[in-house]
Amino acid sequence: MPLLPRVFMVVALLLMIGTTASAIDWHENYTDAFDEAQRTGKPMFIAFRCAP
Amino acid sequence: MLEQYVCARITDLRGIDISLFDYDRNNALYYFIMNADEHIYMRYGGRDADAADKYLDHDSLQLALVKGLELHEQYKAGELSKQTRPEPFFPKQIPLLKAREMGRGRCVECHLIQDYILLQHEKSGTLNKVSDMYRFPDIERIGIKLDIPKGLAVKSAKGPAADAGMQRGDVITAFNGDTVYTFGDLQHRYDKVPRPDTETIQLSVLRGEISEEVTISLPKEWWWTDLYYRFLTIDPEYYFYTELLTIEEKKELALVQDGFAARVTDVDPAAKVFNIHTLKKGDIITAVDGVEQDAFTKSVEIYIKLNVMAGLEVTLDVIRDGEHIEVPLEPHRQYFRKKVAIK
Repeated sequence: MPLLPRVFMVVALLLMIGTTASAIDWHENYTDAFDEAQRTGKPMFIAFRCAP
Repeated sequence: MLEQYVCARITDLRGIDISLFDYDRNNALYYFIMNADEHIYMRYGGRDADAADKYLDHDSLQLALVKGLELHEQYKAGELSKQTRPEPFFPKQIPLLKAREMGRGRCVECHLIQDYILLQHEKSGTLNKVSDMYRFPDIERIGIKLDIPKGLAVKSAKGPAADAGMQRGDVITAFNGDTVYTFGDLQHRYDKVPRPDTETIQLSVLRGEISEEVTISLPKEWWWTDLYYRFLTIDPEYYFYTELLTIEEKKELALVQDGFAARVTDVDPAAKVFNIHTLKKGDIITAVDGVEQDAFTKSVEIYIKLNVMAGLEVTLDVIRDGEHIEVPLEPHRQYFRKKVAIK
């Protein structure tokens, strides 16, 4: 897929998650998320996405 | 909802166990809902040849997130059976990827994983183009159209799915006995069905309050998908780009309706440098060595990738300025392959 539509789609979908997403502390790597999930007992929501 | 989760967004797959996080790499966005024991509750995402965001939807994502929390509680209560973790496999274990991308400090994007796995197979002489390139089959090919905002609710059933008794309103709950919650789950399991010999798949559906089993007879080439959106750098390289003619254009030119007749939209200058072909922008390619259509692709470019070996000459039937002409094509190996000497 050409880069521009791909970027547009990713941005649109991240916005789609909703305004609550802005309050979410997104980790940028798996290890940090894994450590926090182990510490807190929360489930993980892992997003793999093309680089914006 | 997301505040109840630990969230991560990952763009670089270095250090990621790609065996655990197994999914269709040609998605721009794909999610896993799981826990810190690396028990995967579900996958979310998926696309097809129609649209990159076909199965991404706010409502169905919300359903998945709610279900994920429910499954997490069940897991903590010991109510979920243990998953068998696959043998770990990391991007650095793909030698070509390690040498060409990681060794140069480049980001290992999702699509590179599948591409380099194919390249590695090709280099080692083990590439089976049909089984390795056609990943993540399309459920619409067996007649299942989902009501996407409602997760795995069936919007319509036609062809093999209808013949097997699937009905509009059914909710798919299991694939060959494995519980599925999302389209991502369903497609992931469908991808694991051995091909080409498997003849049936079994779907469990909820019809109202009643659970039913639906055994679908798989049609010929059930695993077929259009490959146009996949990033394929396998051999050969042909140095032109095309767009498929419309049905109306094909009719006007009296061409096969299901054929891969396509207009050349651009020609790489390398074509002239390496004497690959003499195609011009605007040419219409109608056939490759007399073949006008193919069961596996609607793209003349993919047809060449699947059927033509680098270094061997084929003849393209071309319409140029209204005249039918023949244009020889001798596709190359990918230029960067010279160092790896693929046999």
